[in-house]
Amino acid sequence: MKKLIITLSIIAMLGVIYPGLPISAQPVRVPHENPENATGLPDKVGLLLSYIRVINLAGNSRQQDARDLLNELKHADVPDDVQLIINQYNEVWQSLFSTLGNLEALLDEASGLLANNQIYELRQKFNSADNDIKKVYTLLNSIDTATNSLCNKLGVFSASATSQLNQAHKSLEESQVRLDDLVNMLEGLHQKLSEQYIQKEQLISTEVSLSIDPESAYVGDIVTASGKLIGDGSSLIGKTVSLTADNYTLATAITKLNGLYTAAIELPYKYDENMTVNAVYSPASNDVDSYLACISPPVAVTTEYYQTVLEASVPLKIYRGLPFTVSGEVTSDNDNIPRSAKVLLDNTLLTTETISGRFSFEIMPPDEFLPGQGKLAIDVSPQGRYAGASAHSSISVSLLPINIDTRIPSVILTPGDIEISGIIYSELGPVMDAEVNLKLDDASVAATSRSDGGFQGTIKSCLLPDDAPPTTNPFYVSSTPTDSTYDFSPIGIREITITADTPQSPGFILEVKRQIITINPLSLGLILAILAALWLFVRRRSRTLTHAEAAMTPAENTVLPKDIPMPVKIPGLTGIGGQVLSTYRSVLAVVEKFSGVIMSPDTTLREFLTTASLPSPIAAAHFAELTDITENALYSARSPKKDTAARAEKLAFNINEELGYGTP
Amino acid sequence: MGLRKFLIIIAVTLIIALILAVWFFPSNDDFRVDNPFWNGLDKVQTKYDIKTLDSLSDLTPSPYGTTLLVIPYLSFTSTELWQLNRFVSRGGRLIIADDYGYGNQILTYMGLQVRFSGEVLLDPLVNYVNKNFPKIHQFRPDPLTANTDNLVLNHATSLNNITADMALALSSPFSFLDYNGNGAREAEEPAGPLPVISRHKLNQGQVILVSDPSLLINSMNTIEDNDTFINNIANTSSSFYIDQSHLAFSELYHTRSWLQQARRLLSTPAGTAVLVLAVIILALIPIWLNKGENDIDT
Repeated sequence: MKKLIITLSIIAMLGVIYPGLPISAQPVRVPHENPENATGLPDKVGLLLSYIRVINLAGNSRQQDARDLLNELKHADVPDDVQLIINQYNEVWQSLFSTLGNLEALLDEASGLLANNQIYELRQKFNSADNDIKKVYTLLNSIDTATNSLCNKLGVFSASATSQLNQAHKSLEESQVRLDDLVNMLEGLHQKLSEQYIQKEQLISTEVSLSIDPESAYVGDIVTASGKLIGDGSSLIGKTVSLTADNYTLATAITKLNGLYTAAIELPYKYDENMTVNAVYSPASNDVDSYLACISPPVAVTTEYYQTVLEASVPLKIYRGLPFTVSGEVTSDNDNIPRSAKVLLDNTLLTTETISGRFSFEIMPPDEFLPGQGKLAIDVSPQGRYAGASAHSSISVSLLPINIDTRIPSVILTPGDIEISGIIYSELGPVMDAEVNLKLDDASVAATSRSDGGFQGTIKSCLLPDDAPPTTNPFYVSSTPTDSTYDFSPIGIREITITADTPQSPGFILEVKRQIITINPLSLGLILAILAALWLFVRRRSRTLTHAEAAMTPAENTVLPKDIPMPVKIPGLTGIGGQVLSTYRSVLAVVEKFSGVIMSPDTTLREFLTTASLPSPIAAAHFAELTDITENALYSARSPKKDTAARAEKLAFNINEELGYGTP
Repeated sequence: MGLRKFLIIIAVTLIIALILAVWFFPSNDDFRVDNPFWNGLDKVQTKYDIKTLDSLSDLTPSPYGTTLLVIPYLSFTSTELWQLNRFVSRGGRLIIADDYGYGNQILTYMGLQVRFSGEVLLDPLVNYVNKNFPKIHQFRPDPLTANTDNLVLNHATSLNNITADMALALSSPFSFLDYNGNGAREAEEPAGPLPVISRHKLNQGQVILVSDPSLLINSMNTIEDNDTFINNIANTSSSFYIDQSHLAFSELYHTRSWLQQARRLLSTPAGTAVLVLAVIILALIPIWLNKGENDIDT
């Protein structure tokens, strides 16, 4: 008993301790926490520090970055009342950064124009800069007020404010001071440029004229630009005049006698009907100290070209491994000259075709495209006077959906053959030549779909594994190792996997799984037989025990002499001897039970008396006397006395009482 | 009834009850598809019909259009790394969702420069509830990020060695990597925006890195647009697999695996024979013991 308790205790202890051991193998850091249980407070310090980052960016003339960072604060996770103040605060900052950015751009531009003596636009820019500087100062005052409001809301001025929060507030104020320095620097730059402007106004002003002939021409044609450059009323000779359109220099010319210049301009292939050309004079080398720059009034040139109209039709969905058709019509003023067309999918060139008028061609989708939405573009390239054209369409790249309908019995008896059939089809119809694989556990069977998409296969289910050697397996028969399986379980649920590799959907293997119920009558019968045998055995044993216990009926529950087992009639032994022997036999069963010794047929009564050990000495003495009386009845030459039978019954009663309940 | 019998009956009953509990109680392991609790992937797996892989050996040999999601919380063998590399090389899409695991082992093997930083990404301002849940709202237009305005991560990390064209999603400028674990940003700690999702082409396939696998778990996938992101992954995949063989496992999972192995074993002829023999022996033991006692008494 002790051993059992100790063993159970050790098992219980191991059960408690062992599950905790794997914790040491888990990741050191927490991979996640339950968001439903997570709590948090707004990070006030982080909020103030983020404004310092914003101001620092602005202080480094990165106004746009500062504005972007401010926009990010819209996403901050703060209470609504704080968010309201933040939004108002940010608006002021945004306005400041916008104005500062504009001011910096104006001053940069003014600086560039001054360097080229182009003062004709400067006055307006300086006026704008003046206005911006005034606005900046106003905004800085507003920011001071808004900062106090925000800090008050965040509790910076309350007694409970942490040292970190106070430190952050102090840093914010210092950053704002640095921003004032930036504004002062910009104001100084503005002042310096204004002084330079005043100096430049002392230089000789210039003027340039421009005319273009013809005023209308096809793209690629040559037009003639001409004009005159004068400075302070005098012709300027040997100066370079640039002819520009949209900040692109088309040609340059050198002024000659009387300041006249002429230049041939090839109209660019821009296929834009209206083009504006300017003549620009920018002083160079020594002229920088003498002349101001100038620009002519714009001259409009009408460019002509042939319109190209492209109408294209493409499928909304294409499938990998299957070609698709692009069709349509390309026309150019009723002229069908051959044109080069490129087809692109998400800017990747699929093909280049030469098309004319109505067209239609097939394209194979490239393998590298993953399923999803894409943009298909058809670009007809410009060609001389013919403008280009393009058509765009959203297209879905996917695999051709393949379906399998299977016919598999839901209940299978094993061992036996499992017939599997089905049909493979797509939205385009039956799929033929698909490589089908039928798999159950380690067994697999290959099949190929027919022209109607149908396929069929048989998986053999064996009694025992195929690799069981014949010497140990009396049921062994030769079978194909790849198409058979076994399962000895009486009833089970198993899974059949069917895969199909189709030529219409290369690279994609369709897989379906079906569950079947298997019943093995042999193992089921075997197990039932074993259980039945066990049941019979247990039942028989329990009956034997019941009889033995019935023979041990407690004496106090019986009434003498009726309850003493009735003497059994022994052939050849009647009268008093028979009664004595019957009494002995009735006591014998009780003695066998208590002594644990069964009287064998070859044992004499005396031998049994010496072998059977009874727990009660009184009962043992009574049994010894009874044995003696019975021996006399059996073997004595004289007939037993009349009271012998009564004495035997009295002894039997005493023995039963002694062994059953002891002496009252 | 004797004490011996009582103890034996209690022990046997307890063992049977434990076996039933182990067999039927749902898993509570992180990222398990059979875990219906807050940290499992039960919902995602059911919703998007994600197929599970218990071994990388089961990877399809023709992976075009197939997406494999790996949460690398256990290290990989050289064979497994080769299998993953082959999967990508043949056109598969591998999504490595990792924070503090073994994702860099895969990236090193594949020759990619990008790495999981392995440091905790915190965002004190742009977050969900607290700084451990950074909210991501900067996305590069891509089929994977379509219709996604906000993603919420949960104890995430970031990606290193990445160019702008590779990053699909960035944390906010206020986020930072908490090197020293004090929860506050120090000067030497990198600040946002930091890449958290990226795409890398590799031969015919591609590798997607997500710096937090927790956005997939049951309690997270309903927050903000996390589900949209997963939906985008599923919609751009012809087949969607998840590897379950590189997740840390609990004792419950371990024990259940043993029971499943035992069940498989018992369905074999040898196993069935052993079971029957054991039943017979157990049934006969009391008789044998009784006989033994009788002999001793005799």
